[in-house]
Parts: sequence; C-alpha cells; structure tokens
Amino acid sequence: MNKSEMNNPHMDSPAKPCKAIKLILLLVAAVPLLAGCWDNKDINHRSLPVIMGISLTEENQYKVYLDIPATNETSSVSIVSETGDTINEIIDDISMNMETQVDLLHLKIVIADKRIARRGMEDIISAFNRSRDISAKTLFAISDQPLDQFFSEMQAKSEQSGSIIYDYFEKNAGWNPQLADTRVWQLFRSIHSYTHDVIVPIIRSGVSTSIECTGSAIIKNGRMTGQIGTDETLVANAFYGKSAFGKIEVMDSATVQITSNRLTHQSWLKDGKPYLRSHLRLKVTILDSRGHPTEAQINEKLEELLTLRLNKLFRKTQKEQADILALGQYFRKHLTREQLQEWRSGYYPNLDFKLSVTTVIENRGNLKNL
Amino acid sequence: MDKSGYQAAILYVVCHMGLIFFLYPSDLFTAMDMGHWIGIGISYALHAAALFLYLKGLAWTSRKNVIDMFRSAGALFAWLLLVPVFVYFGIAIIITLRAYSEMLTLVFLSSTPLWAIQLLLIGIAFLMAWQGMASMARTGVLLAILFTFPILFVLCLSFQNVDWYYLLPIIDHEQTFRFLIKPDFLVSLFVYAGGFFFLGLLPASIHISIKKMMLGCLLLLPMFLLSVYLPLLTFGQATAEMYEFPMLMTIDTVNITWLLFDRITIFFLLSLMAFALLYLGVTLWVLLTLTKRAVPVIPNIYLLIVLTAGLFAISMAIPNWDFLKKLQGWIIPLRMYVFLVVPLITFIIGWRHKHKTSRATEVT
Repeated sequence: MNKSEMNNPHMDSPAKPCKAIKLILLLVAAVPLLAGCWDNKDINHRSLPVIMGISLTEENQYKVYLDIPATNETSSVSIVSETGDTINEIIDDISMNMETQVDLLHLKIVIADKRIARRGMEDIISAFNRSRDISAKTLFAISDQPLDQFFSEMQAKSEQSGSIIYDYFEKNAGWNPQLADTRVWQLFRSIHSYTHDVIVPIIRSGVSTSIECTGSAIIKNGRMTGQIGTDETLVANAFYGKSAFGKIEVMDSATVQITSNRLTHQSWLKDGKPYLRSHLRLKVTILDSRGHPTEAQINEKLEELLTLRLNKLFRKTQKEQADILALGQYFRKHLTREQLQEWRSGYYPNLDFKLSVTTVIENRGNLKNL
Repeated sequence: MDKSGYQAAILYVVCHMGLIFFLYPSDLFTAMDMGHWIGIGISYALHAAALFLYLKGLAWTSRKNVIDMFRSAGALFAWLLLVPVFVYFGIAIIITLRAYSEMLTLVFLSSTPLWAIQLLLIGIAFLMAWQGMASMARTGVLLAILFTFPILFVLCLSFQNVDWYYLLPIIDHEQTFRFLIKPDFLVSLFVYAGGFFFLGLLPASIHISIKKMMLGCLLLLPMFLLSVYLPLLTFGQATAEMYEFPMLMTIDTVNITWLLFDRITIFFLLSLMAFALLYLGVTLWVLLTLTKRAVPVIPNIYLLIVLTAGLFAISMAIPNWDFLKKLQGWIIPLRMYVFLVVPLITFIIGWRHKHKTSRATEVT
C-alpha cells in the first residue's frame, strides 16, 4: 500500500478484491448444495406402483399387491405381493426385497378385496390419509373376485399397456357415468361425516374386455353394507350431478343420452319426521328409437323409469341406513349438530322422500322424426 | 399516480398471506363447531381496529418509530413495554420455523431432516434481515408480482369439490360467545397478531398511507374466510377438524386432468412459503431493530448472527408437535398484548403528542 493511497480518505479500493474473493469462495462452497435434494433417489431407482390391492389372508393378515408398470421393454407390468400386519410394514418389506425403492407418490387406484370391505376398512383409509405420499385423490374400488386371480388375469392381459385399470377409471379416458367415482378422501369424509355415505365401484376381470364393472358397493362408515347395480349407479351419479353422457335405455322404445342435469330440493321437518321433495330435471338427446314412439311417450316412460330406479335405490339405502345420496345435507338448516349426529339412525329411516323427474328432449339428432 | 405507500401495504399483505393458510384453519376448526364466520368476523374486526389505531397513533407523531414513541414516555416504560414484544416475536419466529418445516416434511420433503429445513428457512430469513428493510420491501413487491397468479389459480380451482350445503347452518340457534375465551380460539389469533407491528419500525424512506393499508387489510378478509371455508365446504366440520393442515388437504383433493402436474398443492405451498420466508425475515428484522436500540454498541451483523443462532437453537430444542401446540397456548397473554394493547398504547401516546403540539403552537 503506497502513501498516496493511505492519504486518500475514500480508500475502499483495496477492500474490493478481498470482498470479491470472499464472495467467490462462498459461492464455490455453495456448489455441493446445488443439487438441492436430500437423500434423493433417481427415478430409475424407484418403483412407482399405479395400483395397490389389499386383501385378507386366512390368518387375518393383510396381503398387499402392487402393480408396477415396468420401465424396461421386456415386460409391461410386474406384480409383487407380501403379507403382514400393517400396510406400511408390507410396503417396507416389498421395498426391502426389491432392487428399487417403492414410492407410492403416483398410486392411482386402491382395490380392496370384498371380504375386507365387508369387515371394515376404516384403518386402511385412515392410514392412507395419514400417509405422507399417497395422494388424497387416489381412487377406490372393490374387487368381486379374489385378488390373486384378479391380478394374475390383469398381468396376462396387460401385454400392450400397463395402465389399463388406470385408464378404465380416468375421466378423460374410459370412465362412464355407470361407474362410481370415489376417492380416498371422500371415503375418509364418509367415515366421519354425519350425513354422507359413498358408493364404490365393484370390478372384476372381464371375459372379453380387461375389466368388468358389476355395480357399486354401498359403503357406510368404511364398511360395505350392500350392493347396487350399474343402472342404479347411473341414477346416483345423476343425483351427484355427474351423469353427463350417461345413456339410459327406455324400455322397448328408445335410448337416450343425458346431456345435463339439475336438481332442486325442498326439505322440511314436521313432528321430528323429515320430508324431502326433490326435482330432477334432465336434458337428454335421443340416440335411437324402436318403432315410432312420440316424444311424450318417451318422456313419460323415461320419467317413470328414473323415478322407479331412484326409489328402489332409496329404499335399499334407507333400509341399510346408508345415506349415499347425502340427503342429510338438505336438513342441515333444520337440525342442530347433535341431531345431525343421529341422522343415519334416527331420521334417515323415517325420511319421506319423493322425487319427481322431468325430462326435456333437447334434440333428436340428425333426423327430424322419431 | 401516487405510488408511495404501496410497498408497506404490499409487505403487510404478503406477510399475512404467508401465515393465514397453514395453522389458522386447523386452530379455528378445533375452536368452533359452527358459525365460523362469527369467529373470523370478530377477530378480523379487532385486527382492522388495532391496525387503524396503530397507524393513526404513528401518523400523529409524524413518523417517529414505536421505540422513540414509547421512550418519550420514559426509558423504563419503554423497556417494560417492549420486552414482551421482543419475547413474543422471538417465539413467533420459533413457532413459524418449526411448524412450517414440519409441514414441508409432511407434504413433500419426507426424507429431509427437520434441522436442514429449519436451517434453510432461518438462513434465508437471516440474509433478508441483513439486507435491511428497504430491500425486504422491494422483495415483497417482487414476490407479490410473481406468486399472486399461482395462488389465485389454485384458490379458484379448489372450489372443485365444494358442497355448499356444508355452509349450513349459518348460525346456531344457541350461538354463544363462549368460544372467545377458548384457548384454541386465542391461539388462532396468531395470524392476526404479529403481522403489523413492523410498520412502526419502518425507516422514513418507506411511506405508510393509512388508506392503502386499510385497503390491503380489506383484501385479507376474503383470504381469512377462504382459508377456513374451503376446507369446511369440502370436508365438513367433522372431517376437517381431524386434519393438521386442512387447507393443504383441500387442495390435494383437486383433480385436474388437463394440467401437466399431478398435484397443485406444491404450487400453492411454494408460493406461500416464499411469503412466509418474507414474514420470517421481517420478524427477524423487528427483533434486530429492538435489540439494536437496547444495546447500541454491538454492530448489527453480530447481533443478527447471535439472534439467528439463538432462535435456531431454541427451535431445534422443541421436542415435538405437541410441545409446539402447548407453547402456542402459553404465549396467549403475550399475543393479546401485542395484538391489542400495543396498538392502543401507540394510539394514546400519539393522541397526547398531537394535543401537546397543538397546544404548543397555540401558545406560540
């Protein structure tokens, strides 16, 4: 440092290179952190199962199946299974015995065995909700046949594509309004909600197609209490507002497609007995007709059919005290919270529910006459 | 257009946004069974009133900061008044740090140890506080520009699964106000309490406009409501009260097939984490400013290092989630003090100051 610099009152130039070097050193030291991941595992060291099957063994243990789409070209799907006392323990076991780590982040569907569904699935569903990596919107389904058989047939059929089941349920792929669409979070809600039960699709491996849907299971508090057919599921979906593009066959006269639906409700309570009048307005288009029915005839038959189906569905659920149409929701303004807790047992069985259906034929397709 | 006053208002909104959506809904669900809007309404009204009193008091003393104001009433008085504030903000940082890192491990960093996340969070807060308030205010504006869109996008989409019937009953027939003294409700005031104190310490270069602040405050009302009502309408009270982070669960249920990303929770979480980081930075800076006035001899940077290290050590020492909940319960008196008493005292001192000066001008 020379004298002239020492005399300079604004002497900050010597400090600058020093500061720059410090800064550069700091930045260099930060380089190892740039990966930004902690204990990261590459994607090729992970197995990402899409489907999980859960069944019970003879000894009342869980048996978990995982359907893992393969990443290599020789096979398309591998199915692994293991038994144990808790789901997480089993996953851990599978992970231990595999060359990759099982990662449930992309799990799309959980299929439970019918036996386990009848016994109650509260623990499983709570575990899913507690879990850090299973998404709340994982779909739920129940298998009509033993899972061993189901998965082996699935594996045999999935030579071309590993995601058949996933596509089957996906709204933008194979889903139909005849299929119930219930997610894990909805099941969890139904366990704790006072007024809300759910339906879950029942599937089995099909004869010519890979999967067949045989209807829906009525799930009350995490337990399967009964079963409804696909037609009734469609009506239930119409009630939920999810029936667009559902097709209904009107006996002997026509097939119509639902284009939109709208529901209005009127509910009241008299002497502790709940009354509900609902009005379902459907807009439909005619797909094909047999003979030459008039529009009025089709409308009349359709309304009759839908009312009948819905009433049948309602009676069945009423008997089982499972409110799958969430009718209790319409009494929230009449009942207190304590009373709502009693909804399923105290009020729902006495519910006086009448549904009227109005259908409007939106158009007749390309042909003017029926 | 008058641009002054925006920085402070944006900073205020951003700091609160970082807090609202995480701990608040869960606390409120434990505190109340129905009529949540009454609870939100009351605490929001208190918040708006406190904010107004605080700003008015500050404005009357013509931009003196809170410390100077309290000092004008005596040094001992100032110490007495500001030590609880210091303690409260220290604990507020610890709670935020700990709770948010737990939440991050819960949602997407399941294999990362807690200390690493806490270190990262407090490290960034340290850098922010070090750079000072002016740079934090600019950062606030930048964050608001960057993350408003993703947050609004996610909030709009999370209406996907709502069932409007869960809104009912809007009011309970036997609605009482007993919830106001429930510890859970008082804990939920966390989001209302500490986010505006820093306004009293702002350097003169950042202008505060009361009108813009109150507009910002108005903007927060829908956010408070959404953070509680979105989970409520999706799950219903009985289920929502079981979740540790109901808002995040609500967003997890959103299913969009056309979006490239599977879960939009991460967008929401990361945007709000950026806001929360700013809150941490601002709170750390508040602590620094207070300490600096108490012990002026030590240079800023050493004070900041000591503060940061101390807070980090304490937050590491918290054994578990239950203890964190208890800690939040213990500081209820402090919280009420910072939330209601401090603005009131500021208002009174400001009012006296105004009268003194007007009398002084009359005499001369």
